[in-house]
Amino acid sequence: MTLELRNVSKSFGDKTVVRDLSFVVPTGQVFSLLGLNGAGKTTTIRMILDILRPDSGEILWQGRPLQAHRLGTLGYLPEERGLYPQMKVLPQLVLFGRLQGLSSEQARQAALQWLERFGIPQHRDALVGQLSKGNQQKIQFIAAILHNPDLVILDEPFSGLDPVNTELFKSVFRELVEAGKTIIFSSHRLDHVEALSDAVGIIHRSELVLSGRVQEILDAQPPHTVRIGADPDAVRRLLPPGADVRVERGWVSVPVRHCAPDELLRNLVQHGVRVTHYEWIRPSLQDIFLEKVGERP
Amino acid sequence: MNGLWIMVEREFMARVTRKAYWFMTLFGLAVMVALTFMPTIMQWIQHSTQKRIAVADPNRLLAASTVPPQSDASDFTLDILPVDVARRITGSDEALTSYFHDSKVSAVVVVRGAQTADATFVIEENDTLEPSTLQQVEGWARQQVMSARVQQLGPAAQTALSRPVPVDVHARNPNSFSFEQRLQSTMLVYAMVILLFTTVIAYGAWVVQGVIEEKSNRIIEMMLIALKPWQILFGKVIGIALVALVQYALWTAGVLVARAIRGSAAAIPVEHVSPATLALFPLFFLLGYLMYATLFSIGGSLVHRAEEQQLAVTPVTLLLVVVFYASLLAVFKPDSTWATIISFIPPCMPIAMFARVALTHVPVWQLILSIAGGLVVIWLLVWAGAVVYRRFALHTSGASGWKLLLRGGHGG
Repeated sequence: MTLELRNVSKSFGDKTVVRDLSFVVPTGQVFSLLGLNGAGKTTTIRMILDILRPDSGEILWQGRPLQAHRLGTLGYLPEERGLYPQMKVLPQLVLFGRLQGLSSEQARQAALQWLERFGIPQHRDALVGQLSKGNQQKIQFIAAILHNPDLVILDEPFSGLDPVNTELFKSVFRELVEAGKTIIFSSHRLDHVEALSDAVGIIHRSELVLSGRVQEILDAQPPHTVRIGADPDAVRRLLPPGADVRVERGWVSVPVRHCAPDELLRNLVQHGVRVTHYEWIRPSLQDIFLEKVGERP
Repeated sequence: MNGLWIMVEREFMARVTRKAYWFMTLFGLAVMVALTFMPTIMQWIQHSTQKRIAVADPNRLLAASTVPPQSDASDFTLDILPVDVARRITGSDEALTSYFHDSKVSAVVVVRGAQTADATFVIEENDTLEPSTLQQVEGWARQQVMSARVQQLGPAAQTALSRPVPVDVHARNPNSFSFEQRLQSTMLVYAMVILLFTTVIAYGAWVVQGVIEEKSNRIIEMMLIALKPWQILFGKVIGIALVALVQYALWTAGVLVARAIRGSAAAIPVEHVSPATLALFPLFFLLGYLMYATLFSIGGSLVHRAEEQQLAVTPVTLLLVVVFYASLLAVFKPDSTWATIISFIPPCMPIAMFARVALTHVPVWQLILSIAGGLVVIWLLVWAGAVVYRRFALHTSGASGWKLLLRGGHGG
């Protein structure tokens, strides 16, 4: 039971925006779509939402095309605000809830609960256009999940949020995961992606260049640096001459290519050097992303 | 289908809850009620500006009883001066000047002569009289003299002159329109022309604004995941139509109450119009509105920002101008071949066919064909609107306007 994209392609005129894209997101998992601006993420999301139709390939949710599912299956938070600025908060949320199949009363109750959860019940009668950017983003988030959808698609959910609200969004995000929702999300904040996703897909120039479980992708990367908590001079003495040793806030970093990590640790211990920390540093998701899209500075 | 009604409700509520809407509605209501009382107001204005004209008839050649009855509607009053005053002011120019100064009359009609049949008149103007007033006073004076001259003729001649000349009108066609029916039907056709074009222009602009707002605020993406494009477009068109209808209903109710207060015979003077014509009035109005409002909505989905609204509106407005003049010819000559031809051309149909129905006898098949053609065109426009909307709704930059339709484009 999954979301499945099979060989999906989309062109606008003679420009191919998405080429032969395939991936699978098991139910209850969080999948992040990464890519530079213009890589094809938003078009992919719009095709999953059935706002755009693929030129070829198919998109299935639980084995059937999305349009064959009941109203309310999907929840969506667009990258740019999609709210009526001249409409009050509560009627607006009730409208979106009703459009997704809730009754007026159900939508109202759900909206009030979520406004409470997001700490803005006092804004229920305010015009959306008069709210701060962060509060508008909260309303947008509530509009996406108000109707309790099974598949939630969040395009840049954390943009424009201060650190406190980012944490609030993350906690709601985790609640959705615990509730068994399948989540597709895209973000330029790769630390968020690494922390919140089960799997990622990197789209570059219309094609999927990497896809898989986050932990497996990270674990598959060989370490590039050894970070040691020890006397820098003692470490230098045990390394070949000319080794690139960097010292930062008391931590000593040595590129793996300049040392044999296991042997270095053994030598440090044998020479009685006090070692408080020893760590292999593997490439982060950000490093992998930059390598894949070929934009490493 | 439920989504369509939710959109209709949203569009309706979003507009009727605005203060500006109620301000315009109440302002319009005040204008309508004022127009209902316009004849009374005009009479009052007339009365307050009535000219006073004195008649100096020292020899009493004119009978006082022949002075035309004075009403508030008349733009002058005529007073016959007492004999002594008449003698004094006709005796010297100074006396006349002094009389003008004291009495503030606008003119004095001086009657001279020995007998009525030979009477001559001099109108001494102090203020300049309106040509119509002058004409009426002259007519009245002539009438006095002519009556006196007739009196001098023998009884046979008097009888011959006073015998009326009967003129009768026979309607050979039992279906022909009575004068009242024709008059009221013509008024109804004019009402249709005014109502349809003002509604389409005023509320069509709201449709365009609404579509552009949803595009520029990116609400459209939220809508498209739950609704079909035709539901979004048609929901807007119907919702705004309801806003207009509520406004018109309030204005009509206001006019009915005002006319009841004035004590007018008929609440709205349509008692001589055939029931079929009355029934077809709202139908043709709705057909016309739906056709043009849908065209406006398509225009709205082809531009990106509020500043580009004119780009969306102009071609439809130009079409409206052409249709307006083409239809007007049909209104003036509803039995012409021109009227018959354009009553089958959908953009002209609402006015042209309605004018034909109201003022001539249209075969039923022509009526049905014309309405069916209109419905098909509206359906095609909604369908085309949905295609255009799906294709261009997500465009928020780059080329815009109707030329996109010729050029094609993409949706992301």
